[in-house]
Amino acid sequence: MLPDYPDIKVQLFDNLTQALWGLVDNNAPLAARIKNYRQVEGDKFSYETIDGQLEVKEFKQIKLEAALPAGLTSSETAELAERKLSELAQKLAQQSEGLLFSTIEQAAQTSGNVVDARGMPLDPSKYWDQIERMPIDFDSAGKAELPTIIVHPDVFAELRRKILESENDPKEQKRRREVLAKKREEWRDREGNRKLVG
Amino acid sequence: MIERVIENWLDNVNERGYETAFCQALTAQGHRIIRRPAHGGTEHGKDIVSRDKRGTYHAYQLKTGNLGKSEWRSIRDEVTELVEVPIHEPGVPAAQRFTPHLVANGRITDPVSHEINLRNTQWEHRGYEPLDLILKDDLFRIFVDLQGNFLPTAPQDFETFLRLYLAEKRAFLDKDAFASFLVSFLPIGKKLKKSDLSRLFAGTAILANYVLSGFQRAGNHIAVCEGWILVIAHLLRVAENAAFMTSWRQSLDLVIQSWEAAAMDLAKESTESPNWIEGEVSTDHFVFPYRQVILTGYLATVAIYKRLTTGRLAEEDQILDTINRHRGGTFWGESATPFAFAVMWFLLQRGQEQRVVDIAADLIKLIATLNHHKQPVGLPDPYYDSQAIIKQAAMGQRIFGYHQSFTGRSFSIRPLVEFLVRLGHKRLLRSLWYDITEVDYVEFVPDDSRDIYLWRIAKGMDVRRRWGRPESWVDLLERAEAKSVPTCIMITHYPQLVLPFLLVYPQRLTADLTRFIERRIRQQF
Repeated sequence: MLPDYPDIKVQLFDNLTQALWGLVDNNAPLAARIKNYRQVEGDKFSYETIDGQLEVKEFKQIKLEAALPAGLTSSETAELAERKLSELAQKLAQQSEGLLFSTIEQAAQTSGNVVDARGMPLDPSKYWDQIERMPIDFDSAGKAELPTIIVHPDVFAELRRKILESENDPKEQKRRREVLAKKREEWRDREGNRKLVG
Repeated sequence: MIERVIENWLDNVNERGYETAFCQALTAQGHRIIRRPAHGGTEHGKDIVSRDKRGTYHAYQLKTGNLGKSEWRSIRDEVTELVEVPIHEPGVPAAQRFTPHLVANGRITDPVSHEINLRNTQWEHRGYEPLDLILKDDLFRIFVDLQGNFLPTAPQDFETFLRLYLAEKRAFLDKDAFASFLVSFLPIGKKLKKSDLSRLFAGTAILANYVLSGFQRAGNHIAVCEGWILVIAHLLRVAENAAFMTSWRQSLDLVIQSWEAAAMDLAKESTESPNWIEGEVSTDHFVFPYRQVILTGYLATVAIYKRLTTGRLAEEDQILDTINRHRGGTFWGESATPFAFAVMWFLLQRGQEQRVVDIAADLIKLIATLNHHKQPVGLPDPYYDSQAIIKQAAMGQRIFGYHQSFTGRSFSIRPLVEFLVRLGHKRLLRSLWYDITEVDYVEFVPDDSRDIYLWRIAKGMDVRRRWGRPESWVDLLERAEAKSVPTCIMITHYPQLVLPFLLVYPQRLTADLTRFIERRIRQQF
């Protein structure tokens, strides 16, 4: 065989993998905000929901293949590898965010947290209807930790305009204050329950 | 190829290193081992005493290397004692005839052979059995024949074996590789014939002995302890499917004795070492706090183990002093929890409850702080050992995966909380409770409870639970005092091994097992 540097290449491959995940993050900004937990053993996992239900889940596979042909020059191989890496990152991002959305959708359906807008344009008041249905936490400064809204880019500009309008709409602001006050009370109750009794 | 490894091993091993393998070979031939050095030194020239299937008694003296004239002169008196002094062991009739054997992993020179022949004639005239010689070629044949058809034959398995055999002997044992090597040839989960079991257990122990004797020769007691626990655990997994306990029990007991010997050596060296510094001095301070946790944990484990088996160790006060001198250390992650528990259990029995409560409360606070969901990474779970953490902390190596985190959950928090519950520290727990609820408790539950002996389990579930909101002290107390324990041979027949097992398998530490150990300790101290 020709001289090779297997140990160094293992390290380089590890760096390449890190770079790949960095690219995946760029293509899947929502999934990028989620921490990963590595389960070393077993074939399933379970967790307890806020309602005390134990949910059992099995793993879902995200799988992609990429091949680099033999016979290319070194520079051609490097160029192709870079392109393939970028393609892989895009596909992985699609798969991981697709999986994320399907999981959220399934969870929302199960918990009844789905509001069907029935084809109507997105309205900020609907947003507060949604917030009213979910538990909201508050930070140490008392600020609500509101969830991220994910919309299609085409909808974003229109939604942004409506949100700005709603900020000057006393009726909408009253609704916002009411919902947040209710959520703060709920959060205080929840926090108050983090105690050992009896 | 394996024959060359065995030959190489025989050339390099000392008598202590091949003694376990030799006892295992005798067991596989149907001998009952009555005495071995683990039972306490050589007596009247006899390292090992056994009784074979036909009821004949045998006494063995083990030596290292070739026997030339000068070596023979230095051992001649001992060999004479071996031949002439009767076996003096419980259960052996007085003046019982026996066959004396001189065992050496080298060869013998002609003049020595000639002298032994002459002496044998004299001994026979005087009514003694003649001395039998078991030399390197005989040992080689015994070991090769015994292992027969389950030696590593697949190239990958053999490569793993060689890697383990040739590993750096001052380092930790590569537990991943050693466990996968054991799994590669053991018939785990399969029914076995009674006749195969004894050979399988003995053969496995001998294969393990090839790997571990190098560590033993280097005085690397931790590696030897960890290796024997892995062997014990995997053999117990095989035993779970075998109903014939009598056929393998002696073989397993020999392995357990080997673990005991290594653990006692470690305890001796630890209590005698003035400062616990080892190897290259200039960089030792990076690893010293990790070593402190391991050594205090092992010392406490040895003291507890002895209390659970033969009774209080004569050196127990010395162990206590040493542990008291070495307060501190780095709690590098959840694989350190069993070491902390060992120390806490030992100190508790030695009347240091307040210190124990402080340690447990500090660990709970540490976990609740580091594994708060707003932290980026958190405290590594039990799947990361001290070496991995040192590589990351002191050498900047990337150990964790991309975006990997341990926050929001912990394997140790429930056993620690329940420990304080059993001690009745309600007020203390109340003060910690808000932070505790930040961290869910996790446990890995295998589909088949008999798989707990395996290093990695394919079928099973990671179970994550939230604390009650609010949590009731009555419910907590009920859970902490529950009677449930996993049903397996280790629990029913070898309860003293559960703590040593957890030091090597921190991923198996659960609320049930900690409760079980605690109850056993309370009964025995």
